[in-house]
Amino acid sequence: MNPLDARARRATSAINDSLAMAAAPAPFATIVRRAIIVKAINVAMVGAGLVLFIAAGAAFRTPQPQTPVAETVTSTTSEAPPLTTTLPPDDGGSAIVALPTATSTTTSSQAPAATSSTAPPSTTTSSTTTQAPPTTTTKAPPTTTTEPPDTTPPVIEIVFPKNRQRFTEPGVTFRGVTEPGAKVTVGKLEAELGDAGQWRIKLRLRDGRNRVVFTATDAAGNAAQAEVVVFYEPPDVAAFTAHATFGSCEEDPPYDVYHGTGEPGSAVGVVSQYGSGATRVNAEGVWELKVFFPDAPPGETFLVRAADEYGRARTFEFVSNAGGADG
Amino acid sequence: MTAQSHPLADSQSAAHAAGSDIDAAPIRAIVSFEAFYERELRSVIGLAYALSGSRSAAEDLAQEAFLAAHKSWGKVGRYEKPEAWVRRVVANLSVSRFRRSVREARAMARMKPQASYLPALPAEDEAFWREVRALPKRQAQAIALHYMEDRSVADIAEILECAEGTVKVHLFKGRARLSERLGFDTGDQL
Repeated sequence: MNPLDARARRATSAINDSLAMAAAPAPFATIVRRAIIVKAINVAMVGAGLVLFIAAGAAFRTPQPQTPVAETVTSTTSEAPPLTTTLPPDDGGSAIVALPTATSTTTSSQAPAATSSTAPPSTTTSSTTTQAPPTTTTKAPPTTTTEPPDTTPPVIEIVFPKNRQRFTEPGVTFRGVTEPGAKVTVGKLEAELGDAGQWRIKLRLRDGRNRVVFTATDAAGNAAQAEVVVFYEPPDVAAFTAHATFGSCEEDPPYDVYHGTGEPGSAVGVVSQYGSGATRVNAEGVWELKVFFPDAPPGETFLVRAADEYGRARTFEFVSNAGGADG
Repeated sequence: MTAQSHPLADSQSAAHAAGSDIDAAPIRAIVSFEAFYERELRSVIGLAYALSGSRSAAEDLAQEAFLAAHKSWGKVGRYEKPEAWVRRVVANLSVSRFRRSVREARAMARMKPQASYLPALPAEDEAFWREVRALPKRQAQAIALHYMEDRSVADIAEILECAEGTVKVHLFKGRARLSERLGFDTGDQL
C-alpha cells in the first residue's frame, strides 16, 4: 500500500470511528417532523417579511399631489422561457433544431394597467402601481433575505453523447447530470429534469457538425456551461475515403498529397501537429490536397488525420526524411 | 507508403440515442424506506462529513438527501441501487459551498443540546479530508467514494453518472494532486 492509501485509510477510519461514537441518528419520523416545522417557519418568516416590506414601502412613499389613493398590487410571476423549435447557428456554422418533445407550463399573474414585473425564477417581487400620473410606476426593490448570496455555479456534465460521436439518425436524446434543482437549457429550450439532477432533451441535428452548448442555471441565477460536438451523417451522403500518396518525403520542406472521395461540396480538413490544410470535395465527388510539414523533425513519425465535415476520418502516418534522415 | 484504411473510428450511433431514456427504471419490488434509511444513514452521513468538512452540516445534508428520496420513494425505491441515488444527491449537495454554509447555519440554529452530531477528527485526519475538499468537485467526490466506501470504479461511475474512464481520470488526477499536497512521493504507484 502506498503512503497515500495508508493515510487515506487512517482518515477513513477516523470518520468511521467518529460515526460509531456519535449518538444514534434521529429516526426518520423526527426528520420529517422537523422538516415540516422548518418549512412552516420559513413560510411564516417570508410572509411576515413581505407584510413589513409593504408597510415600510407605504410609509416612505412620497405623497403625490392630485393622487387620490395609490393602488397596491402584489404580483408574482414565474417565468419559463418560451419554447421554440429552432436555434440560431453556432459559431461553426452548424445548428440544431429541437424536436417538439419538451413541454413547459407558464404561470403568470399580471398587474393591471399594463404594468408588469418580471422576476427571476423563484423570486418574489412586490410592485406598487400609482394610478394618477399617467404611466407612473414605482417599482419596489426585491425582498431582502439574510442568506449570503449563492455565487457557486452549478455543476453540469454531459453523459451522452460522447464528444465527436457520430450519428446516422438526426434525433438524438442528450442527457447528463447537474445539481438537483438547477435547470438546464440549450438555446431557448429547457431540458426535462429528474429528481437527482439528471436531465435530458431530444434535439434534431443538422447535417454534419453540430456544436451543442448546455447551460445549467441554479435558483440563485449562477450558470455553468458544458458543450459537446457531434456529427450527423445523413444516409444519402456519399462515402468518405482518404489516401496518402507518399507517407514519407525527402524534400525540404517535406509534404504529402492526400486525396479521396466524399460528398460533393463538403469540407475536408487534413490536420497534424506539423502542418494542416483544408479543401472541398469537387462536383465529381473527388478531393485532393497537398500539405507541407515544414517543422517536422527528420526521422520522427507522426500522425496526420483527414476528416470531412460529417466527422468521418482516416489517420495516416508520415515521416520526413529531409536532409538524408533515414527513419 | 504507409497509408492505411482505418475503419470509421466512432461508429456508435442512433442505437445509443434510442436507448438513452434516463428514467426507464426496470420494474422491481420497492424495499421499505425505513429499512433503507436505517441501513444507509450512517455511511451517507460519513460521506457528507468527508465532502463537507462540517460536523454540524453533515447530518443535515444526509437528512436532506433522504427526505428527497422519501418524497420520490415510489420511483427511487424501484431503482436497482437506490443507495447510489442518495449518495449522488448528498455528494452534489456537499460540494456546494453555499448550500453547505446554509445547512451549517441551520443546524447550529436548531439549538441542539450537543454541539454537533459527530465527534471531531484528529488533526492529521482532518487535514487529509481538507485536502480532498480542496480538489475540484468531481475529483473530491470520486476520491471520497473510493476511500470512504471502498467503491469500485464502476460503482463510482454509476453514482456520479459518468463514464468509468472519467472516474479513472478523476481518481488518477485527484490522487496525484493529493500526493503532491501531502508531500508523498508515489512514483509509479498511482
